[in-house]
Amino acid sequence: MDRIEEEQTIERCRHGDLEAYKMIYERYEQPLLRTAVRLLGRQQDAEDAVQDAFLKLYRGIDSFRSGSRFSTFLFRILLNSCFDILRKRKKADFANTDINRLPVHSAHEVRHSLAEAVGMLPRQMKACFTLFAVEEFTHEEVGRILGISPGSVKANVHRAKQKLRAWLSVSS
Amino acid sequence: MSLKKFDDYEKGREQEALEARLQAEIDSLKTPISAPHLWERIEAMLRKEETVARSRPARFLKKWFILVPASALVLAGIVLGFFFGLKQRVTPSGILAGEALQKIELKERQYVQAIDELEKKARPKMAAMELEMVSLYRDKLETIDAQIRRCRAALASNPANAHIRRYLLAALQDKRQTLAELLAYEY
Repeated sequence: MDRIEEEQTIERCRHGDLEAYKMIYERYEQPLLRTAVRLLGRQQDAEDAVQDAFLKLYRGIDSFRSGSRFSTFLFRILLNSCFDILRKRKKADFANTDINRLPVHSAHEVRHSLAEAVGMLPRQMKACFTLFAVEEFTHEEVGRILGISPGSVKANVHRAKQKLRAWLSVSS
Repeated sequence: MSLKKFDDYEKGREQEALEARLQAEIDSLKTPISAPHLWERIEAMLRKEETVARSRPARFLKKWFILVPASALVLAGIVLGFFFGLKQRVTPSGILAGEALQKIELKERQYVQAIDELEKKARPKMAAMELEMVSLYRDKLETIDAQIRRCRAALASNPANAHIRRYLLAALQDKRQTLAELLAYEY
């Protein structure tokens, strides 16, 4: 879907056209699910977050300003939904979680464990890393999604990579 | 090759290999996730929402509930500002004396300082709030900011006008209160 097509689809969404919402879903399903799974750790919660994000999108599509990038708007909604779920879970403070406490796995378990290691990063660091390194948003776009400065995004991604590199070197 | 150079070379190679491995692992995080019935769930929920929205004009009204009084406040400010501005030229009672002007300027600075602090606290909260609420508060704050700008523009040519100062103070108070409300909002 190119940008013009996307704008036309959004215009149809503004008029409540559910087919247009389906097109948006098909375009963004995988990146949204992947990001939510990385942030929440459980697929069921990730699906709930995506569902909630679409409900919020439906209710708030009028606040999307044409000319802005839709993907950053949509991901901002998704992240709010994810954070709502995390708040509801009343999990222990993610910022205090120490990646070094993760068990060391054998090489064939690394793929699963790297996802686990990402899951153990502090909340904001995890969001910055996932959006930048996995979903390939720019620092500026990640900053807009999370409401923080691009410099802060850069620092978070750098620290996340450092932690993951350290973890990989220990696990190999 | 000296031993130190050899060590550096080895470290560099290890670093490169680690970097390549990290990148490969990052790529593996892009593996598709299967959620076969998710769209059906979303569609059912949106259809339900559509039905509810049709029987609920409150969303539109809710926005106007904040916008109308805020716009009325701005209009009243402009009209009264002009009225008293004109009156002030005829009667000198609306002109502040030097000492009073200093006091009022100090008060304004205190408000501006308090607002700056509240704004700093409000920014992350707004980022986490529902979009609908964010847009309501943003609209209200923009309206108040417009009033503050108008008052400041009027004061630039007539700094001792007590009436415009009063409207500026009222707008600053209003902004402080709105930000405080936003911070107290529970979602």
